[in-house]
Amino acid sequence: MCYPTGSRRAGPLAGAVAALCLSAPVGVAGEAAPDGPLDLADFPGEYIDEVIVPVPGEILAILEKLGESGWKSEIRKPARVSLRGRVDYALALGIAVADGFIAVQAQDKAAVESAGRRVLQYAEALGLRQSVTRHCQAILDAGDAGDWAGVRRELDRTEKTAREAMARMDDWALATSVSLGGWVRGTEVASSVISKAFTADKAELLNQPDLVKHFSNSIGKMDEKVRENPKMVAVATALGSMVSLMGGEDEPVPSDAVVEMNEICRGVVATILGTAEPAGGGGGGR
Amino acid sequence: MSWRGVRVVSCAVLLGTMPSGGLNASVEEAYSFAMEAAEPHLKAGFNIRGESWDGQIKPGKRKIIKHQLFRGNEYWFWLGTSAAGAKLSLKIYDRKGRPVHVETVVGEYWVATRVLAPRTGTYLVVVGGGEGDAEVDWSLAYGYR
Repeated sequence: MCYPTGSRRAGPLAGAVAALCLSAPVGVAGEAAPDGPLDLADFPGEYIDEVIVPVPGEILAILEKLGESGWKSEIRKPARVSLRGRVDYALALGIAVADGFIAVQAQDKAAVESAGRRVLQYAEALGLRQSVTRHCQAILDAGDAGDWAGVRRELDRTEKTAREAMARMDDWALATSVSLGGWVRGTEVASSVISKAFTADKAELLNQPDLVKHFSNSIGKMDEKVRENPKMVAVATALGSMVSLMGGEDEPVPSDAVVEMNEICRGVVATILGTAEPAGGGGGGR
Repeated sequence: MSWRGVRVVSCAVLLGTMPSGGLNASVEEAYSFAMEAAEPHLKAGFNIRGESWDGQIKPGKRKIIKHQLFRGNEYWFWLGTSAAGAKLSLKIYDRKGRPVHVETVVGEYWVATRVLAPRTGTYLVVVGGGEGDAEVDWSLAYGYR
């Protein structure tokens, strides 16, 4: 059995209890890993279905370590969006959270504020205002204070809280949509940055075929009405193209594939936000 | 509330991450112990993910989680349980079954494992049931920097 957990913000007692935490058990530090290889053909164990999707910050942090710094140009310009149903808003919520991570990389307070406000707007449209308001306020406060680690933490919690609230409503398709939106936008930016100064090391970060297959499988299991939402159709089509560009697990991602992945993701983000025509065309929102 | 209970809940409050309602108390406690394991690493600059995995495990059994890791990041995984001396194990392997964990730290109620992924890709996080007769709760979180 496995289930997600929620989160709470640090309360006023946090400082007062700090001393108590210092009494943690003393571990055996530095124990070397003594294990040999695992025989996967003879390894009884129960696989847990739940996949935790990496947040964009996990990739962007590596690109920063590799010397990337042009994050400001990756911040999305404000544009009129067209969202018509809960699936649209869930996908857009994921994009807004990813935009927040990009704003943190750029250390751009205005962009953090913009992302935080969009997160709140989309969450409100999904009936989640009460759940995420405290996180959004924390995003704005931390951004205002230049506490970038704090913004990252609250963005992560926002997405988690939203997905949990949807799961409590038995709407796992919407919860998955939030992850999908965030992953597509994060991959758009990562591939953009990598394509501008390609190295095989950077491109390796885009090698995520299992994650893409997980998303594709999840879409396949969604209710027909959600699955046939034109924006979800566009996402599913893009995932199919992306996985072939990624190649195998141990194969390098070539530079032309990175460019193509960027074009695909950019198109899907535009489709989700309604700034481009969905590839599937027509239809209303769920 | 026992001294131990005060301590673990305090750690989770301090770190600002605690399971929300709906989970049983022992799983919440397991998560709190995972956070106790995480505390020194968070102070060292690791970003904790809000998401976590939880469940129950019987002695000698294994739970396997597929997880995407990125080369270039350093990861700590923190596994907590409310069962004292349960001796759960936590190991991380690549797709070919080769261990990639480089350091393990053990406490009475938790085990923490550090990973440097040699390549970007899917890895297997293996939670092992420890000793004793009873099924115990577990909670697993991770952080990166």
